[in-house]
Amino acid sequence: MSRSRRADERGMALALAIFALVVVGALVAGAFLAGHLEQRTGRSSLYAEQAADAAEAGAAELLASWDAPTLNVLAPGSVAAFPATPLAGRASYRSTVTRLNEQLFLVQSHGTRVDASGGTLARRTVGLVARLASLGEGPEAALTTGRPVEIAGSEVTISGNDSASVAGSDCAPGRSRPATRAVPPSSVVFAMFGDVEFERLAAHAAIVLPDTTLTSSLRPSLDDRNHCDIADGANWGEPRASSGAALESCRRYFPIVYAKGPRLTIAAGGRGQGILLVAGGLDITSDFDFSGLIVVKGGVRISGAGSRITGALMAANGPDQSRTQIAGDATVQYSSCALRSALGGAAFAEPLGQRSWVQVY
Amino acid sequence: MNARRGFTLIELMVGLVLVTAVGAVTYALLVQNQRVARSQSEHAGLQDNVRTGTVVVANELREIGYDSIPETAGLAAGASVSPDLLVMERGRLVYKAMRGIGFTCAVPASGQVRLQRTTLLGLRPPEVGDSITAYVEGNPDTGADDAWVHGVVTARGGGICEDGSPAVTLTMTFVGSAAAAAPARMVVGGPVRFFEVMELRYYQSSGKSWLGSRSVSAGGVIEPMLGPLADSTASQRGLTFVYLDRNGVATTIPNEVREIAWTIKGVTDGPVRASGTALAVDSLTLSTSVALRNTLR
Repeated sequence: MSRSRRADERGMALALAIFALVVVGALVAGAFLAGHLEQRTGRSSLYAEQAADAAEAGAAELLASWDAPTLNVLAPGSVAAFPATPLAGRASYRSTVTRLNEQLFLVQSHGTRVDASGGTLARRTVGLVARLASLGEGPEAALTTGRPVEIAGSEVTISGNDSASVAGSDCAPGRSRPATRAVPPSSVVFAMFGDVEFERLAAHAAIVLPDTTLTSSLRPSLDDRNHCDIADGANWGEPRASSGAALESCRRYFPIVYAKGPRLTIAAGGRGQGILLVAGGLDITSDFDFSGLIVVKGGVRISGAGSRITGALMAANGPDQSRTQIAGDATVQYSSCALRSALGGAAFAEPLGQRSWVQVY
Repeated sequence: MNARRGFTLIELMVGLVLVTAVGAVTYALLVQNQRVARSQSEHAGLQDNVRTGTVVVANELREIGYDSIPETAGLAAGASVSPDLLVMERGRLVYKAMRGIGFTCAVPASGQVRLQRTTLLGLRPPEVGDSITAYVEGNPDTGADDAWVHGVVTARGGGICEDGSPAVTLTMTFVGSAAAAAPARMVVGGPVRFFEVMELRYYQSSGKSWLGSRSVSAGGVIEPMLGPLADSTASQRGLTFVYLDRNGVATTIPNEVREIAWTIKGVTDGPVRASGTALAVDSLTLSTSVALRNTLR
């Protein structure tokens, strides 16, 4: 009997302890929930910012490395999509370009932030309306110089007859221009090309050369996928139609080449097209076949055999009052078609001067 | 019989004291728990409120810019600058809120513009009453004479683009000195932005302070967007906009504004008491800014 009575003498300690634990647990859980909510809100904001930054980076990168061979030949209404590019911190961007008309493009860049398993945490899209920079129609003469030209030998040809056609183009040559034209070295014709200044053009160069002598021949080349290898600094495009179908993709490649040093020497010849900008002087010492526009701030010396420039050559003879000397059997042949192809093919897009940015929801 | 005896008075009193003490402790715990839970809930709401409001305001303001017709456009001599910021005050902002962009898909005719439906981007499609700003081209060989001209959408309907795709047809009236020349200068593929005039302002209602918004274009009434905010007194402000130029210096000239910074001081919906403190309204201050993306030149 007494054993049974002791068993009935249960206290409240356990119940109170459990109750206290529940109360404390609820307090802790509440605090945890509030903190967790705050953390999640903060993280969501961070992910959204990272996705937005990735989208902005994508748009800026696409414009900075404008894929002229692909985009400049895009038909109005067509869309070019570029593959996703990963960034640090599990963010990436993917861009599309829609050609709106001959001048305008809509760039859309989609930024994404993913987690470790690839699940999407945030997405943002921004748009930019961009305009193809107009580089004008080129100079009004085969050879434009800031000082009188020295021509050595009787086999030099400088012609303003606009008779040359361009490989793969249906461009019809136009009216003839003067063979040579002299303007002051400080003339704007050496500094502005359509809407674009020399420096801005140089800033968009696909190939930048230091003070150098090119001892390897310039020639078009293909990459592993048989596309024109634009990473090859010796590839300045393909100006010749006779090279066959394999190099077709290089016929659409018109790089802007910028030689920023005091002198560029092309010693091993070769061929190329596009726009060659030279901050100092230019020496061409062997057969060099170029189609497009060459602009030299200093003087130009062409010697040796077989050099041919189709399009136009400009030498400001500026900084060091250097002369322009043309010798050997060099040819400078004006071609409006070569200029149009080079200036159109090398053109890059820039955001509209006003109201270019678009928030895409 | 001894086993059946009841409690003594002493035992009963001790029991009552113990039960009362335990009850008091339990009640105190429950009340404290309730206060803390409420306080946490209020704080979570406050943080969510202030942060969400900040994101929404930033999204509203980010696309703001201004335009001006260059003299080379030949549209209007000395045309003035058209900024999107219309009223810039410390607690009030009236602005053109971009709602979307479309691209013309047919040559404009008779005051009508067709926008390709599939390339409409933005928050919503254009509506009657929206203001528009349309891109006009001068000489296609140069971008130096391109401009944006302004107008108002007076009617909206369907239509077909030149390529056969569906279109939104907007009947619009151009305004300003470039109105007469604008339609002829619009080009297929040119962008048309549409927007409504919005107002963001600090206001008081039902004894509380709010950041409210309203569509000025639609003649709307102010509605709370974010709050409650702290009252604006000599020592504090619930909402402050600051307009900064390219050097980060405060300016009052609309087309010089490159960045808008604002400080929001949100408060809890009611008084809360953190442990050991008196019952009071708690607050959270958040300062942020947004760069205006269409003011870059």
